[in-house]
Amino acid sequence: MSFRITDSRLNHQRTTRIEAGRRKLAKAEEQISTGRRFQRASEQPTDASKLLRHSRRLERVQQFKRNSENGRLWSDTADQALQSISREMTRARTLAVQGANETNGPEQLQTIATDIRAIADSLITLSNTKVLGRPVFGGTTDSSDAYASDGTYLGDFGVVRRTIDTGQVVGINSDGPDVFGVSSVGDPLTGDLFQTIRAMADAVEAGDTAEIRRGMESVDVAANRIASAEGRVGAVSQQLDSIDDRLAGEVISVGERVSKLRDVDLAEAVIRLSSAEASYKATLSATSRGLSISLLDFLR
Amino acid sequence: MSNFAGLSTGYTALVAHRRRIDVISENIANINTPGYHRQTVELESLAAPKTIGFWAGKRDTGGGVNVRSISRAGSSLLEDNARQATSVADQMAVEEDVMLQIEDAVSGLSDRGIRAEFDSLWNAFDDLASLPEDLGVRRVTLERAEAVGRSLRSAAKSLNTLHLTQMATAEVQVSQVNELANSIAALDRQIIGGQASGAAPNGLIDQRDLMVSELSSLVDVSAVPESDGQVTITLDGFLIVGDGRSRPVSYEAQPAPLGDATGLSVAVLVGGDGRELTPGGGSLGGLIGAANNLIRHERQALDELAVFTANTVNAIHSSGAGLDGSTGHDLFEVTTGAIDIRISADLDGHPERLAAAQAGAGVLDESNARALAGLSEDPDGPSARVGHLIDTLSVRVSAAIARSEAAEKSADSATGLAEASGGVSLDQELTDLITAQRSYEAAARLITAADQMLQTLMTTGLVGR
Repeated sequence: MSFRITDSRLNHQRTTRIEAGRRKLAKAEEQISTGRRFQRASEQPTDASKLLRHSRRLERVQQFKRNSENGRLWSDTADQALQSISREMTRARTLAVQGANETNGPEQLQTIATDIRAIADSLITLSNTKVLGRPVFGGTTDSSDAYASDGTYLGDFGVVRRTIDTGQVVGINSDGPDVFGVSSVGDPLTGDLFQTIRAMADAVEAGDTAEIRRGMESVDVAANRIASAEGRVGAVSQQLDSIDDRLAGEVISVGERVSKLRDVDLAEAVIRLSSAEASYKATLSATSRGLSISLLDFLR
Repeated sequence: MSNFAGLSTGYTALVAHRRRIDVISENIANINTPGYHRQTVELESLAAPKTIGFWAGKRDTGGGVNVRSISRAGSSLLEDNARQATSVADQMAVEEDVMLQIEDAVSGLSDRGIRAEFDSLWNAFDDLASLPEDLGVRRVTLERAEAVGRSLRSAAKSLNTLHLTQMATAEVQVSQVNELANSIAALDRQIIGGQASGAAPNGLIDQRDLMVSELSSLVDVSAVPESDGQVTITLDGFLIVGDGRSRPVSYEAQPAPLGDATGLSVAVLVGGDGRELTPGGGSLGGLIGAANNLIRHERQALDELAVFTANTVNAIHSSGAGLDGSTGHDLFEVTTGAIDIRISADLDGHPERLAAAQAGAGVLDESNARALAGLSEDPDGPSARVGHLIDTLSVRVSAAIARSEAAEKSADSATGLAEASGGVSLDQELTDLITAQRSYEAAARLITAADQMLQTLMTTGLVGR
């Protein structure tokens, strides 16, 4: 059964068609001018959901990268401090060897002892090396120094950790006793590094060769401890380095995925725009022709 | 047959075709009038007058033409169908509109939407873990937490405003329903009067049917034409127009049901007998459905999210310790739901109380802050729920759009069919016009011929001299 074509119906269809063409054109224009494939999640629910997931991951990965950079700051600072400490200790040991040489007069011994005490002071300063205001060897203390000038440990034994990926945590600090040894009340010579050095200075001053030798042995033990701390710090640095590389890679790959989901492919969009334009033009021209035809044109 | 019969036959033809031209001009004039139905003149041939005497029993021609009626084109079945399809489409259009506004309120993709605020909060906790001693970082973290609260509050507030708008519009539309019912009843009375006097009240019927269409675009009504030309209209079984009278329906905003934390009132349509009516379709149906279900549903989802977020974050936060060693503070405070989630009074203005450290650990311990940041990846954590909420919403919005488009298409084609049966086609009217005009000319010629015949008889012949 065929239906009558009435004029108002024709007009309605014409406007609907023109509107549809106009809308398609506007959509293509919008995509190009915003650079986004969709403006609302409801336009592409599946892609939008993926996009949300990926962009959340992207934000997190960037944060993990920041966390690991912060961790890197800690281990780099600790590493530099430990290197300087090693150098100072070598200097102290050399001085102690000089002091143990029994040809020194009391004045010379006095000078050597003063030098060694100066080294102890500089070691204390080094042990208070700070990262962003926090003593790097102070654990989780809020005191501004890890060691008081008399060598008392002011920090605690807390572990500082950073989250470097989902559920992945790395400890980035070594506390003072870990690095410098535990202080001893009875025998300062075998106590922590600062006690040892100061006691050794006393022994040099007194010219007590046996005590100096014992002190040197203690310094060697301390040097080993520092070396192993350096090793630990180096391992953390390396771990953070490799994680940083991996995170940087993930930032790129997730970023690409986000962009693929979110951003419009310009070439494709331009083609879509011109095809929308062409079909809109065709609709307009067909409509304008249809509009001008009526029986009236042929009646005299 | 009398000598004057030709004249009178011609006269009936002149009148009839004149009438056709009148009706055609009416059709052309109303080509763009909404609700207008094409009218056609129904003609019938007149029987010859009874003959007596000399002519009796002779076979005879008829007595000319008569206008039997002026009928109104259109199929009530198709129109009913179109009305119903439009009613559904109007409901779906309102629902689509509301769903899009809900999506705007929750703004899933925006850079400052709920999702983005949550992500920023987790990252802020990680920054706090890196610098637990820094009051500036602590202040930023608190501000991020407040921003999460703010985004939930503003989404909830937008939904409340949206709800209010729907309720207000629904109230206006209910009064429109009543006015339309009133006018339809008044027109029905006029139609009855018109038909009693024998005239065809086609214009009145057009007007009335247009109003019935408007009514069914508001609510899903069933309109049954009666044999006397009136309509009986019922809404969910409640008679609103019948026998030339109308009965009003009323709008009520009832308080939220017990146990509904959203506090959003419920729109109810009530019939004169106090019974609750279901609008079924139409834009009023859409509005009431949107206010009572769609918006409420989303508000509830937001409320659940707010309460869940507060509980989850607080459980971790209160177990930790702040810079000042204080412990047991909640980070978020929720009274009823998303509408009033904010950072707790304990924390407000006290960044040092942010519990980055585990209770009992060193002052600058950061494990609690890390635990809070870890909520980001928790597969059943607040962020996962935000994602779920946005995913579900966007699927629902796109389904609403698809439904609305489909309903619009089907309404469009149903309207097209109805229109095809009752609308005016200019070409057809012009063709008819020419036919009628020619017929009129021919009838005029007929009268001239009859006149000439009489003249022949009376002036040039010898009869009667």
